[in-house]
Amino acid sequence: MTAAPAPLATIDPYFSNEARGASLLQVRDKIQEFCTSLEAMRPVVYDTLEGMLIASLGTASGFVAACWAAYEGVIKLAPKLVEWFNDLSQWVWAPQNLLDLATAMQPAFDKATECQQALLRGAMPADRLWEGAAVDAYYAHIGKHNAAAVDVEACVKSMMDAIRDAGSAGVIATYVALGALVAALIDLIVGLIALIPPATPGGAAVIVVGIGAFAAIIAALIAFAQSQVGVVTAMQSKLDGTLRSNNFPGGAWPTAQSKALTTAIENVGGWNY
Amino acid sequence: MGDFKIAYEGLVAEQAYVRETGAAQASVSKAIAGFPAAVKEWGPWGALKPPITAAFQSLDATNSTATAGLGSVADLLHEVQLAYEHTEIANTVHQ
Repeated sequence: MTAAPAPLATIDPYFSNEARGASLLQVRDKIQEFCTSLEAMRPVVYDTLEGMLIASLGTASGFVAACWAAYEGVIKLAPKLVEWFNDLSQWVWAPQNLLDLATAMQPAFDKATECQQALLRGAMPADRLWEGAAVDAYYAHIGKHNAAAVDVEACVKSMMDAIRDAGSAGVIATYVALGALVAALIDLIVGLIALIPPATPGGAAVIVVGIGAFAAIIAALIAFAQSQVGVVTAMQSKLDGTLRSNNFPGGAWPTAQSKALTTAIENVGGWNY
Repeated sequence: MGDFKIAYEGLVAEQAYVRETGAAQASVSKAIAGFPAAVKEWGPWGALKPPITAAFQSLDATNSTATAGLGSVADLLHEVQLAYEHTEIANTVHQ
């Protein structure tokens, strides 16, 4: 006699993306630390710079005033660095989270495959031990459970695919946007340099273009993210349709009900919903 | 019990197998139902959260009934098993 196949185990996979968040928070803290030290170092920087300029030029009047103004500008900009990093990390982190989510679903998909294969006649214990018309009727009924399991497997796969596609598109879009933001930032710097006396007339225009580009890039990325909603919503609608098909009577897993099962095994042919 | 014994053993093994397959099947969606809530940052992709969460909930609402669905098969197998036992007893009495 062939040994009966072992029953399937349940699964309990765990998903958390807090580790990535923690490492990003560490980077943010370092930036905060750097900004704080810029401010704390102000007297030392001023004294050192003044001493160096007096030693080399014999005076510290005009040039040092410009350097101090620049340093003050950097100190004022420093808190923005932390804010920008927070925004940036959210933007870069978010689509990566979607990819992580799709990857974390893999054990569920594997188990769904295992379950639908476990509900095939050849894999089931009774097929090896029970013979006759009754067992044929029984396995005809099991076919309905297998069809439901196949549908669930397909649903999990479609969820993984849709989430992974949205995540991949998000990562690409984010990096394209970052590249464009860097280009806009370079425009801004060029514009700022052009404003230093003697100012060139194009400086202000370049700054305006740079700021406009920032806004346009951010708006484009948000619009792109919005466009992915349609793709995911289509997956959800299809999934809802599958889970309400004939394979799931009343939106639930099929159940077995005997038609007046008596002591006679012949009645086992009455497998029905 | 002869052939009846073989069928009886098949029915007993099948009951446990089917019931545990139901539990395994239900665990497919139960295990992942909370995944969207575990995503800490959606950023500009926040609009994706409602349909994704709805898909997970919808899958779990249906798939979690696999325990009861396949459990009902196991229950029926148990009834058939009892029927085999009764038939066997009746046959023995007739002999």
